[in-house]
Amino acid sequence: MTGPRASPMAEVRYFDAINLPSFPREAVYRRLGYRRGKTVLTPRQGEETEKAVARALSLITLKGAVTRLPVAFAGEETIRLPGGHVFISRRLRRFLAGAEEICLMGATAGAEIGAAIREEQEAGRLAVAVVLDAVASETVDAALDWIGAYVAAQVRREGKRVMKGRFSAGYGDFSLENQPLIHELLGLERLGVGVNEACVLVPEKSVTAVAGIAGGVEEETVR
Amino acid sequence: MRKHGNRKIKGLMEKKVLVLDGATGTELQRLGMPAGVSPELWCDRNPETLLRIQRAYGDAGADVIYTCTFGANRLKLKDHAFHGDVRDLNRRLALITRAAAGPRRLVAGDLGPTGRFVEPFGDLPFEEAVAVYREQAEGLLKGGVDLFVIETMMDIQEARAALIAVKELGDHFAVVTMTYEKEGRTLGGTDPVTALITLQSLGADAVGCNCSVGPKEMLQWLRAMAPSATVPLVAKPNAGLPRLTGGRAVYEMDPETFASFAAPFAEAGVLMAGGCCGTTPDHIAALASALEGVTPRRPARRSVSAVSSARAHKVFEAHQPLVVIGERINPTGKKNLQEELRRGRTDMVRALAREQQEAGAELLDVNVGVPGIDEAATMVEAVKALAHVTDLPLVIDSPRVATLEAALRIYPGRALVNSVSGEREKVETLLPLVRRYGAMFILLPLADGEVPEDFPRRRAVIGEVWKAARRLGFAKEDVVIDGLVMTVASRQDAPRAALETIAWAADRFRCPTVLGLSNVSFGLPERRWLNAAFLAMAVRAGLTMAIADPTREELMGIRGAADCLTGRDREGRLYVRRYGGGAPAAKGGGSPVQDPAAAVTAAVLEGDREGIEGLVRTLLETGREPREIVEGVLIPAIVEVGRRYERRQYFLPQLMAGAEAMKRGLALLEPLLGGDGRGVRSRGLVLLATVKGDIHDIGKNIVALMLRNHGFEVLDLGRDVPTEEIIRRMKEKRPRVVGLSALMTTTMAVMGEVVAAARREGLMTPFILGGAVVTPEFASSLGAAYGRDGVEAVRVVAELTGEKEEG
Repeated sequence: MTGPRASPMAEVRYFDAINLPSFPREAVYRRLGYRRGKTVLTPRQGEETEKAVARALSLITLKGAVTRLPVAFAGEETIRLPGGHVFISRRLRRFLAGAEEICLMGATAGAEIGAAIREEQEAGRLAVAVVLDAVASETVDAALDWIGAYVAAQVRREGKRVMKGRFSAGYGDFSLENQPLIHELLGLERLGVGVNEACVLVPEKSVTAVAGIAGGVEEETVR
Repeated sequence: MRKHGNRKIKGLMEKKVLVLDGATGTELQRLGMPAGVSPELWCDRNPETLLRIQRAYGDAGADVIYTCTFGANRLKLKDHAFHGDVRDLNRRLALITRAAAGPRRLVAGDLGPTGRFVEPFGDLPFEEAVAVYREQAEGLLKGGVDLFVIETMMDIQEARAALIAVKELGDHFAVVTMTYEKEGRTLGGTDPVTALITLQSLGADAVGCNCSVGPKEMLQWLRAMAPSATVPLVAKPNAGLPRLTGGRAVYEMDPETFASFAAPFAEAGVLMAGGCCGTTPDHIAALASALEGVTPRRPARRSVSAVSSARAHKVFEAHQPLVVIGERINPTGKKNLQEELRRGRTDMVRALAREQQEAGAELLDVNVGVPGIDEAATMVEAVKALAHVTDLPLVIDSPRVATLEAALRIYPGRALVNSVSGEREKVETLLPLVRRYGAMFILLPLADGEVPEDFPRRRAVIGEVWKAARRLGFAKEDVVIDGLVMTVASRQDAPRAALETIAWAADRFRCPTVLGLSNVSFGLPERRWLNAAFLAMAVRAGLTMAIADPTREELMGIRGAADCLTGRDREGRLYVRRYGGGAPAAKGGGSPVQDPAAAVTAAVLEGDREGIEGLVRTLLETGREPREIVEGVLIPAIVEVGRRYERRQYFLPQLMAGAEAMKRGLALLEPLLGGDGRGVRSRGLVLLATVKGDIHDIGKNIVALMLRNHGFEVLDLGRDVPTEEIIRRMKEKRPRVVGLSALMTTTMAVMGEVVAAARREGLMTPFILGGAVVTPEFASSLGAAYGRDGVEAVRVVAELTGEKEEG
């Protein structure tokens, strides 16, 4: 079995301020349990919710990082990365079937929003806190989508594609203990993101994920 | 050396729609280029393959062949460990295309993205981006390109840097095409019309879209761009959207279907059309055939009155509702803001921007003039900071040329410059600068340091400045005439002179107009009424925009009313939308004649935290007993809130608001409950904790609030609580139920450890588990109960304690 080959983006690309093309309002409301056709808000309640949304957005600075790494597979659970690093996970191995590379990505909403969520909870204003929490979670998720789209645009010209979905440490048998390695490979400290001894990213509204890159665009098929 | 100059290319487009080439990367792979290499470096070593492909596109009918230099900038080449001469590489690659194109076809020097985002949206300094593209463009010029294409751009600021780099090398024909995601915005959030306004004003000779989508999706964007286009449009779509077949993505659109979009493209104003990913010489041949004989459709207009930010634009039209330019980012008279700017901070600038945007401003005036600071550097920092917090286009406000120049260069949109007056120095230095960066400008009708008091003299100044502007190539749509109102305190007819100027500019000169509204009341008391009245008069005179404070309700109200009364707000729709919600509900949530108990119930149902205490007091005054209010009014109300939540009629914030209102009502009544001798009745103590290693607790806190509302006493140990501590407190407090929360698969396992430790200590207290990753099956495997959410948790705890269910 040969080792991984080099990838064009060997270094980490950082994004100090990700501006989402659109705010995932529907996803935020859905996360809060809103169901179209069922949930009814009075104008005042709608205003209050939107005020909390606006406040959340003013506190969030989305940052991200991504790197492409070549991969090689061994057996049913081993994913070999450059530098001798290894992920061991059957489910991740299956998820990455067909990938020639992976992209590791990380995103954070910053520390201010976490502090505000805590502050609102301590003040007994859970109605505001849950909205701030939902906005933070959904925008960080959207930031990962954004990073995925960025990588897709980079690899398209190479005739490759980003595979559907992404996988995070802590899912299935891809242990959360891989988080410190991902944190290190992405250099997330640069974005103000640390990892504690429980392998949890700090600040809380930070995530990492793995996606596969496959060689996949057959453009000469139709003539 | 170029074969075809700028004018010649424009001349060609008057006769036909120019055909661009198709995809190169995949053709190269088909002919043997290995995956993962730099196409540019490979072609440099294998020129005959590139020559073959590009000749094929020429033979297929392409009028324009792109050089194979998409990634031949120094930043992208670094990824492939290239340390050679970038200029010379571009020159060599251009020469290959020159040879392939022959004398009849045009060679386009291809500039692609660096892969980085340019400040303020990324870490690549703007001037470094300009230098990177300049280096590439110099090499391409030496290789004999006829024009430049800046393509597949996802960052409007990077596109600007590349365009500026090209234009600073000479009057070269420059095409800019952005790549838009399926939602119709670039990754940077720019929509096609905003990009068009920015790029065409900055000097792009043609603007359009390439890549990401097929022709069907791209057509809608081109149609959206057409009404605002002053330059030809460009379309270079993919061969449809790729479909996954056997694990690989395949572009399925055949050449004939691809070419069927030729006529609609031309109809939309596309004067340059080709193909991107998935297209082949066959697609280009079909397209060229379909475009034969098609009459090119020139842009409908020579200029457009519009400004833009990175992500939004505003078009100024006659008879539209008045545009408010927020005036508050101005340190005059604001000591705090002056101090902040001196310290190099922008927190207040950002807060003022947000506040004004929320209040309804559509543009923001930015002035950072504070004595003793580097105004140019401060303005640049303000512009960069604002790019992140607001989509509103900016009005750059400064009397200093250096400040305006620095701001216009970095501003990622089309700005409005405030202002250019009739002074010779301003006309001679500012106008060319504004033109260079394609901005609009406010024409201030004053000259020689004097404010002309009457309209005829103002008109004369306007005429002089306009003459100079026209010589530089400005159109009337690029100009905004300032009515220049002075304070009525010093001259009674000052407002009349301003209104006359506005009316003349709107009706006769036919360009947008602006007023610095609050000048009219300077030195007088209760300025707001004067400002508001003058605003209404100015709207009637034809005013387009006002520099004013959008947080003043009376101003915005008068603005809305004036728009409604003058017909600018058709059928008063905006007015009704803004004010048609009716009077806000009185505190307490109900009408004065509502039954006091019903009012308390309504307050819980509606989450009226502010009003509930007053309503509870009212209910107490009717003689209702505190315990009866708790058990007969509040608890049924919160139970109903829970039911509505479970039926999805309420979502989480409504559940929480109801619970918080309930909590406030309870807090008022609890001290009174001891009076009947029965004391505060507790349904039992519940111990809650988020387990060791887990810092998530919002769900647990929701459960705590709900349990307390339902009469349970709650001891919340917080988050990341060691197992030993939970056991110790169980022994000490003897709770009736213990609730554990975990949000991660790793900490879920700790729940098992806590339950096992409790049982080893002989503690048979029932457990209830919750958290995003916890399932009923997992809880059951530990012999514990499961609570999906706060409402269910209350029900489950009541069952575990044998307490009667309420409501």
